[in-house]
Amino acid sequence: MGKAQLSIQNLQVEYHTDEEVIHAVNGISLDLEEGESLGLVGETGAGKTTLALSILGLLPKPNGRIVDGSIFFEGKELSKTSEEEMRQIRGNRISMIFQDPMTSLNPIFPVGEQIAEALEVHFSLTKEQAEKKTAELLELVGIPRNRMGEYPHQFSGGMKQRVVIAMALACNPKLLLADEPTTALDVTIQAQVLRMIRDLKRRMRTTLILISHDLGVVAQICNTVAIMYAGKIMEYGKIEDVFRNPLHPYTEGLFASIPRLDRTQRRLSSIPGLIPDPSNLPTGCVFHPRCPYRMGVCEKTVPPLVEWEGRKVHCLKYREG
Amino acid sequence: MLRYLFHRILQLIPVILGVTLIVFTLTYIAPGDPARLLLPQDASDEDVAQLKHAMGLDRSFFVQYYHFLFGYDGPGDSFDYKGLFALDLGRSYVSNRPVFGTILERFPNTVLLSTVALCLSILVSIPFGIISATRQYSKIDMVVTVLALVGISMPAFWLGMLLIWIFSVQLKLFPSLAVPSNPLSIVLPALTLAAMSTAVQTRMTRSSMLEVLRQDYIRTARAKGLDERVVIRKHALRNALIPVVTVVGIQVGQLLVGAVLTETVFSYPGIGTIMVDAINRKDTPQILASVVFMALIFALVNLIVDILYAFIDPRIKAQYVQAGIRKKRGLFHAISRKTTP
Ligand SMILES: Nc1ncnc2c1ncn2[C@@H]1O[C@H](COP(=O)(O)OP(=O)(O)O)[C@@H](O)[C@H]1O
Ligand SMILES: [Mg+2]
Repeated sequence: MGKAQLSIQNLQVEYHTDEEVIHAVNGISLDLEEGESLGLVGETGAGKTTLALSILGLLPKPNGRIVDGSIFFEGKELSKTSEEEMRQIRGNRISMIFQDPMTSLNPIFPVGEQIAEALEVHFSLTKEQAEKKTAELLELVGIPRNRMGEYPHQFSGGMKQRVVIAMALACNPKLLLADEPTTALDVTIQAQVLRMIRDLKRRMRTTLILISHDLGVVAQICNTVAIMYAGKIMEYGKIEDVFRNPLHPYTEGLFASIPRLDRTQRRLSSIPGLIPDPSNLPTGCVFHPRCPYRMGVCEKTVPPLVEWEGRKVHCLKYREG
Repeated sequence: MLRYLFHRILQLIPVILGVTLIVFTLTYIAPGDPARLLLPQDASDEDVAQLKHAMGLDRSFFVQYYHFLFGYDGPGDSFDYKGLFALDLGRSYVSNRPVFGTILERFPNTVLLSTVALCLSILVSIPFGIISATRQYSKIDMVVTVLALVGISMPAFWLGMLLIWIFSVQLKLFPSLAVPSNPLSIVLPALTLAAMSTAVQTRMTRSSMLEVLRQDYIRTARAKGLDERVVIRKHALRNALIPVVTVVGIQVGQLLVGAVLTETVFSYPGIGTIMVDAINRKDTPQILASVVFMALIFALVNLIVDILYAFIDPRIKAQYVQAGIRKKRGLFHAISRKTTP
């Protein structure tokens, strides 16, 4: 694992329901240096949230489970860490911003109390200290401190997301997982919130995994990008490289689907076909049914990881040697 | 909030009036003639007619309903009353005592029985509902679910008789006749009365808790690194209890209804036995007074539940609390104190 702060190796996560087994994450490997910011891009259902929840050890019980692979954080293997120790890590060393700010806050507690709570679990603070820190955090995300006694229903969506961000940053986490932090927001608010995340990330030097289905969002913040498809990483490399010259046919498709004039609305939609059913994945390369460069071997052979032009790519088009 | 209260109390008036009209109509069309029942078996038709006239029962339906509301002043004095608006519906045909007097005398007994049953049902249902939800599909959950189903499907009079047979007749642990002065004798009727509510509330707590545990904000709470017990007690429980409070409120009404049956089974001197006796003897003033009284209590309980609701759920409170009384918000949450810069 070397010096990597976060190292994920061959992670496989399944959801077991009454009828079927859903293969949400299928062998993902990632290494993150401290301070790096990685964009995780993929369509809905690609397994992005599942990956983030696995890192935090918060997969929905009892049907979500890690079936193989390992996650190391600061040298410690998280899947072998006790629940008690995981609790010390959550919200403190690793924290997460969830997708939907509308539902991420508890409706019956004032927002200030919800932020203070995150502080109080991990630091021994007096009521006054916690209050003071909460006020500072709120101001950090641009909310006047006198609103800390108000309830979530008194805030707009963008404001709620700021509260959620303040909560996630409360304990100066080493790793921040931001799961589509702007998807649920209006376009104008999206830009504000994104800028805020970028600035806070720089100021606090946290490592960031920014999950998005929007390449444009990722491009604004991240150094590296991993393109996810059906629980696998298709291509992984420096963001400039991937943008300049996408190697994987899926990435290529993603860029082709970006309307050139509109720089904020980069949705991934115009690749023909649908993402595969995660309970019944295609054999060989998971992307082959939609791939314009499909070859006979693609149906049978799982593409290995290939280092290509300083990038990692899973595609049979690229063969070493 | 005060305006809201006032509004709600005003709304009660048509409801109560509606209830009286329905009950009045039912007693009016019910077979049996109170005048004949009051007189000896061999009384002549003439005597009956005369008594009916004295009681005002020979008048038309609408006149009688008018009397019921605004009072009746008959040829004699013994059947006079000042009407519902003066809270006087006259005297019982049977005991000749003021009907509301009897009700007020016995009502505390019903309150006692219902309160014991309510406390019992809350104390049992909420913990079991939570355990059941947090260990969904475990053995405990199965047992609780089956017991709740049994509790819901068992009629009160049947359960009452079953309990009497087991605990009074066979084991001789508790008396089968219940009186308020003997706490031991209240055990069986309270259990009988509590069974249904306990079952309903347990199921409600369980499903509400399961629903809340699926919410995103529970995941957020866990992501903060909170202890699972704190997540359950602080974040989940209070949200889960919001619908449970409504159900408990409805159960209070159900308890009053159940009390009628339970009191009869255990011959307990509450408002239920008054009502059943009055119906059996066609004691019209007593029937009307009991039903109106119950309707009033029922409506008041619902009002109280609605207000409690507002205290638990800030979103609802926000609708009541006018902008002018904003400062009260700090009352419930100390964290918002002294934080204005
Ligand atoms: N609790 C769950 N139970 C069963 N299947 C789930 C659950 N959560 C997610 N899934 C499935 O796992 C797959 C990946 O989901 P997710 O990680 O949420 O994707 P993304 O965040 O990329 O949209 C999807 O097919 C989704 O339907
Ligand atoms: Mg997601």
